[in-house]
Amino acid sequence: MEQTRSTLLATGLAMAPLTVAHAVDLGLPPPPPIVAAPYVSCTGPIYLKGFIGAANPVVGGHQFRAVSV
Amino acid sequence: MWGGISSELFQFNGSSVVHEDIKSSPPFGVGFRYQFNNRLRFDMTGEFRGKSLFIAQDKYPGGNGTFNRASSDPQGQFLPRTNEYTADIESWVGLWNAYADLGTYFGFAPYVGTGIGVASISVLGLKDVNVPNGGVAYGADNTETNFAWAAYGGVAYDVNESVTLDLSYRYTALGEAKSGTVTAFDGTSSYAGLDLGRVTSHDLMLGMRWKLGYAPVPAPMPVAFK
Repeated sequence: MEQTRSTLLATGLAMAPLTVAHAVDLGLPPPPPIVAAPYVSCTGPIYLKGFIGAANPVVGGHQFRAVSV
Repeated sequence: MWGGISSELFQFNGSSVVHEDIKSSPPFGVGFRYQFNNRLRFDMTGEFRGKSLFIAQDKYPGGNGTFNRASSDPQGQFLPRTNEYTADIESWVGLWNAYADLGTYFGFAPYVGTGIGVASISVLGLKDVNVPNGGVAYGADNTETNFAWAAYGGVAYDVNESVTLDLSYRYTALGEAKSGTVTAFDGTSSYAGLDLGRVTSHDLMLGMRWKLGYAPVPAPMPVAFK
């Protein structure tokens, strides 16, 4: 009796790895694919701006005003 | 202008400006832009407008007056005279701007905008030459800090996802420019300064914008699945 119980226990332990292998074939849905997350800028929609130009300045009015001391 | 001429008297006696002009100089600057959404964006810019030559001539017919006139004139009278002014004008301008994009047409994005800010405008090295009177006077340098505003119209073009070219027209109001005290070369007379009036500018500007922190989105990792 004791020997029979030991034999069954040993058989169960020996088959344990096989049961794990069999789980692959059970038709479970595969896990979602691993996709890298899109790059996220650390500064958001901020831009550096530089400019040059040509100016045509104009003095307002046509009368000078000189103030006495 | 010579001998402490007051403005009211000067006007009364028929002073007239023969010519006045500020020569062009290229403004340049930098700033940061924030894209609020597809239609609205803001930026903050600082720019330097280098020395521009200011030249002007005026004349006055002479007449009776009560101001201190040139020492050779009879008391209470002054003779017809002219003035020729030259000075350098330079300024710093800081503006906070808002823009509205009007859509994209064939890759070009027209926009309009407006801005407010501060202008620091300097009159440097003013010289006042009165040839008929044989006088020369020099003005002290002076800087005025004024409220400034601007109105924009332009078009932008995206060169790629991170670089944009920008061609625009801008009307800029810089406020008043004044010299410091103007003193005769021999120190015999002076007046408080020359008021050049309000300075505005029609600017044509070419700009470039770089998107900060931009990097291409990497390709997805290959999936290994058994």
